[in-house]
Amino acid sequence: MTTTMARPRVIWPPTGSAPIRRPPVEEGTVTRVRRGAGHTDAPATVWSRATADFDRWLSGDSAALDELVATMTPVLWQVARSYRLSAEQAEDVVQNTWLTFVRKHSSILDTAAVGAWLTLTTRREAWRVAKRSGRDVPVEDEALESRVPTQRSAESLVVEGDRNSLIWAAVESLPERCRRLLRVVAFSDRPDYAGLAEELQMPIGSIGPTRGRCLGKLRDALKDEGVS
Amino acid sequence: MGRSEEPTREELLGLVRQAYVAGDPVPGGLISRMQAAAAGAAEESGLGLDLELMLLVESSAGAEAAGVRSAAPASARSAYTLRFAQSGVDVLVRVASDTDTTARLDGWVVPGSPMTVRAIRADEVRTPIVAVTLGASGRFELTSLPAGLIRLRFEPADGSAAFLTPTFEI
Repeated sequence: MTTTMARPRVIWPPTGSAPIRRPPVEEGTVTRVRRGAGHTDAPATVWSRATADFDRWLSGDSAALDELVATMTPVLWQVARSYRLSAEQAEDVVQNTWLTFVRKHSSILDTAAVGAWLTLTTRREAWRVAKRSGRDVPVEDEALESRVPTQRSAESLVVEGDRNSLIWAAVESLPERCRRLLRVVAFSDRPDYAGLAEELQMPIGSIGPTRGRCLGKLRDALKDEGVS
Repeated sequence: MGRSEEPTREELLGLVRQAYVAGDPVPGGLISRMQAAAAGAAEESGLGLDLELMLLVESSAGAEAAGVRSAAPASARSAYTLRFAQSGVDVLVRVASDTDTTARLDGWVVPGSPMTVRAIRADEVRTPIVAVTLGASGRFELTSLPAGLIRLRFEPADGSAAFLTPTFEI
């Protein structure tokens, strides 16, 4: 492992990130909370927090709307960006979701479903925008062949010894269809397969198996990167 | 590392989240911009600081109880009605026990229009407990409500201002 003194211009990780320790994957560093920079909480925590925020807003606490927006915006950002939207397009999509939410919140009868409603609304809008700009279908072969490591983008330059960058490299090495599918699934509350099938132009029955294959590829890629 | 177990599906999805949260983080200021947008929209729809609070204009307890004494089950004898009004909207609510610990509520909104009605606990918990939609008839019923203090919240489907009743006991 190299010393951190000799680091070149660091593109990765974003400056200010805490160095990540290296416990085994199984021990749950995965869900460490870092609010503010976008959180990686266990999804169940996010959805139940969103429900609690929505409940308080409905009960007359107007400040709870701010909290709901703070809880869910980082998730919605990730969902929107899964559709290869620019930062500006993704921001518009997320903003549209919030405006629609304020206008249509009376249609969410079960407040426990607010997270699912918000992610689904974001997905639909993101897909619509992506289609309009010709970015709708991942340009990937059916075989889901992994890209070779030399095709890594500049942003994903590996800084030796940084666990996050290794995970990033593994995720980036996946075929685009896999990245889209796993990203949407990872950040959605109970994603509907019918919608995913339409967006990815795949038969609905192959979403489950494809997700399984993509996870398998990720597992192998992590092994190659020495992460697990 | 020497771990033989492979990461599970949930752990892998957790790693995907970790990678993207760090690799494609929320742009600075996005959350506050979204908060401003949502607050602005809420303000515009009358969902800002002050929800329209309905006034209790009529309440009757004894009268109905007298009328139902012999035929109705014992639980129905505690029935009473409330009438709330605000901005040309009238809500008539009949509250009756449905079991020893729960109550049912039959309501009528005039004029009727598509909206959602939520019963919201008004004690220290303050949580929506149930919601139903109602159509042009304006009729609704909520059953098996736990006894206690509640408020009703009426949310027109067209996104216009919601109404909230004062707290009452069921």
